[in-house]
Amino acid sequence: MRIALVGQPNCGKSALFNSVAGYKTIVSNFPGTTVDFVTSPVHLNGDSFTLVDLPGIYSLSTSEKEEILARRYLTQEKPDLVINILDASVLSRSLELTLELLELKLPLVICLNMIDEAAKKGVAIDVAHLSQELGVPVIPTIANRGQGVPELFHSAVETAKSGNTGKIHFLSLDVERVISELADLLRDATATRLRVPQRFLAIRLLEQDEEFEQAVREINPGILGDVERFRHMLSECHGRPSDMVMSSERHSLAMNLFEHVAKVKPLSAAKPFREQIDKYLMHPYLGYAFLGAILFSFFWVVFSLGRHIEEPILALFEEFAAYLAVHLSKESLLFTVINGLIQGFSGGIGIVLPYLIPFLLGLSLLEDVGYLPRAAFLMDSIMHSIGLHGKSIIPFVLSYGCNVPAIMGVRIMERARDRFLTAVLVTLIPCAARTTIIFALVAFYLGPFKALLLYVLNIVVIAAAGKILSHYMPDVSPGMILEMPSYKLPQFSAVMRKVWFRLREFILIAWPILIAGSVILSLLEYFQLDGRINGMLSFFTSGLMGLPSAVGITLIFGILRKELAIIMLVQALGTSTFSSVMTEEQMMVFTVFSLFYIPCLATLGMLRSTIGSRGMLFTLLFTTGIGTLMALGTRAIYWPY
Amino acid sequence: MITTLEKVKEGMSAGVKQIHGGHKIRQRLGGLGIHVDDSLKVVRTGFLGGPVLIEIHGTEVGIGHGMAEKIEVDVMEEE
Repeated sequence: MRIALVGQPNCGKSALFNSVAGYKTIVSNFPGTTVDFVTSPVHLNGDSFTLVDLPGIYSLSTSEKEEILARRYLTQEKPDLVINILDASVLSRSLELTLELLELKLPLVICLNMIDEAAKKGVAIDVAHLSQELGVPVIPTIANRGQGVPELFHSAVETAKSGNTGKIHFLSLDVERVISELADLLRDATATRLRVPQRFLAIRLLEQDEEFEQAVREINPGILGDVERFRHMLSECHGRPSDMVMSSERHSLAMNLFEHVAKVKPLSAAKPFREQIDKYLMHPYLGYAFLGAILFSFFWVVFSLGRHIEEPILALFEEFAAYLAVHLSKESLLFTVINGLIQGFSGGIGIVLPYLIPFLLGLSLLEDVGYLPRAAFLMDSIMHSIGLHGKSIIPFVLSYGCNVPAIMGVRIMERARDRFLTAVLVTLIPCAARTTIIFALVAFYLGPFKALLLYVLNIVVIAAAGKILSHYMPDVSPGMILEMPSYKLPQFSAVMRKVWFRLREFILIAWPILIAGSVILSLLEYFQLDGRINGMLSFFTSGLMGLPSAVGITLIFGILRKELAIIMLVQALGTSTFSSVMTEEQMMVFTVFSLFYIPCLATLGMLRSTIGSRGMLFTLLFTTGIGTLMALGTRAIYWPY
Repeated sequence: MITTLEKVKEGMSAGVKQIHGGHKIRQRLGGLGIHVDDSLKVVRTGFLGGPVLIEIHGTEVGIGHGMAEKIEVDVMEEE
């Protein structure tokens, strides 16, 4: 038995899924977090079934990719039962989706979630009356506390057995006449072949649904003329396009239903909590001050807290390596391999402890409290100027600490295009390790002003890269439209589980790559291949960039971990007084190239799992291209001297 | 007074008169419960090309500046 969860974004769908299926999907106080389908076998009340968590959909009439995927699942895979989760605190809007789902004629149960939130808003819902109106069971729940969940699934299994699909609600007489005439015409094989009810197909076509129109064109193009005639009929009678007629009809039906089953009692005169907070956090000027303060303190806490834990642990690893060096003889192959393993392992710890854990904690808190959509709202117009959306601001800020969590943060965006663009641009931001290079070479030898200049250059390059990329991947969305959830007190267990869920991904995907890369580099050293690599790269390093050819290997190490580039530079050049062996131009060129070229291995690993292998490859080429271009530009500036 | 959403002053209520610009925009707005003839309240205006925050059917929705320009509204007189 397959049970699909369908609901509007932020209705508590994922919380419901997790409460019975264990932790497999990310729940947050942010509309649109479930982007891929998550399924899980569930055993509950002695019943077994497969639970499918579909992405949140506002409506079945949509042209959004993720929403179409969810709809296709419903029409083509035909789950045995649909649980429609409604956010009781926005019941009238949620009912619009319910009315559409009823047209699908799939066994249906309503989960009336967040009844506590509704009560807080002064909305009292007559559950029995609603159930009677819709003709399907309605179970009130508070999913994040597990309240009502066993009853819901009990009712779901019963309904799946009985096959009750509920009541169809009729629209105005003239609209109904058009629907039934069109449905009659579709009675032939068309609707059957598309595996949807005739009435549902008729409504979709009247709503100018592109996907269904295309499907009908393929099997029965002759009927499209009639469809056009009916659409025209509707728009003539109502003075607005047919899709608008349909959605307005459904809208007023939902509002009527709401008025029948719910009583709204006016709340006390005291302004709600949310309004009081938003007065400051969403203020046109103060809002930005708060945003800056929140992001800065988040950043500061994340990147200062972990350091204190990281250093003693890394020191332990170094001691261990030193101990091994004595006992295994430093030149042996075994030591080389073990040393590589230790390096990769401790490198992972160097990312996980100081950056990932505090970051993921902070992000989860900000998410669950409900601040992220507000930050996105405030930053929308600025990020728009480089082809992105307000939501991109979070990964951008975090990237200054470490690119890995930043790329994880990219997933809060619901469109693939936005995820891709943000992930690529975020890798250009100097993380803490790249900052080390800027400080050790430029700030130390050439002065803080030139270091600052590099940061400014970096921002300009990112803005330009954003402009160029968004020129080739234009934003097709009509613009931001984002629901502001109410503030919620985060639940400790939910936050911790979310942190672990995301951390596990780093441990399983990026860390092994880091360890393997580290071993390979130790072997390169062991077999003394660094000279040969320098030779192979010399056309690039010394020929093109005018750098000492010894830096070739350091750039390779820099791919493993950025700070290694500077550590290896000491080794490769045989001195830590860089100014004695490198000219100002060479230091600048090296730093500029390191600032932009290939992100580190852990970042590449995360890129691959976030935007795919091709996306990762593109980022690799794109960033190296920018690095080379900028380094050559730097050389050109120094040319006259 | 008929105007577009991004020009409505903070705290004012308005009725949606028309949504310009194709059925994709209408679909997106409709999904969030924003239709012609609905009434809404502007919680925060879009200053400097920023988005507009409105309250509609008991929820708050942020709407990008470009999209707000396409929503024609009738501002209700102040009481």
